[in-house]
Amino acid sequence: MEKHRGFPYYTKRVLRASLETGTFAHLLHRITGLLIVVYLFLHMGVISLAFINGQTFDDVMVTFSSPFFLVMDLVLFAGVMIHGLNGIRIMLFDMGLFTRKQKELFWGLMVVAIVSVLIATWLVATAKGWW
Amino acid sequence: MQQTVHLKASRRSFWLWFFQRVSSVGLIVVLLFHMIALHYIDPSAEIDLLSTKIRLQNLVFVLADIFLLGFALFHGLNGVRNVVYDYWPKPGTRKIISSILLVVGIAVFIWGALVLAYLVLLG
Ligand code: HEM
Repeated sequence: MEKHRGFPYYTKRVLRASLETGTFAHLLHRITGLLIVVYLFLHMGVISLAFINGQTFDDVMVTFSSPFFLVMDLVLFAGVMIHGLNGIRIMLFDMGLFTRKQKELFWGLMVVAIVSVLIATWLVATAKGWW
Repeated sequence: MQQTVHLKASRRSFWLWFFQRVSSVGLIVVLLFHMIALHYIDPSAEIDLLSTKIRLQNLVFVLADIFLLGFALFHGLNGVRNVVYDYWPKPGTRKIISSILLVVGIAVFIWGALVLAYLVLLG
């Protein structure tokens, strides 16, 4: 039986493993996916306000157009792009494509995600006259 | 007997795996359309109940919303199931959680469809 080495040892091992590109990509995909599920339920809860009271719905929508929530929208967009592009990467591997270029594909797609978020940020900032 | 049980379980996990992919491809189209059309084509547009009801008089947006609802619920909750199955070996617990996720998914789909029908029809 393996000797028990204690909590710090295992924490270090998990942290070191998660620095491997593959593990990192897997954890990132998992965390973004679960966060989007949480967002989905919050989002549906807010839309459901329309069912209950139209004025409340409009008031909440005004709150959501504040800079803080617009930035949160961009965070959500970033999460969706990271999860979506990495999801495409996973499906390519399922089809036997790019299986020898997994890390390169991951970092390439993350660059695409960052660029798309920068474009979205630029669109919002321009429309809102943030500069 | 044992054989058929295993066959049924593996057939089910194949179809769940397969529809996770189908919903992924569907979500790329529908979710990007949803986020870009509502937030990033005209980020200065104010969204309120009236403009939402007017937008939903267009069938394209209604179809996009209903597919988004179905795909996102299936994909997200099946994803949660996959995570649970990764960390939880006990068959009893797995079964209970799967059933809860299934009931939640169906209930939330019906609720979302009702809200959408209200916005479309009583606008
Ligand atoms: C942009 C479109 C999307 C694509 C292309 C996509 C792709 C994928 C793929 C291929 C998987 C399976 C990963 C695997 O089997 O290892 C997955 C898992 C998952 N997705 Fe998505 N997805 C998208 C949007 C969403 C949305 C909107 C949600 C939330 C409602 C979501 C939540 C999840 C969750 C929770 C998992 C499970 C994560 C895991 O097993 O570690 N995804 N996604």
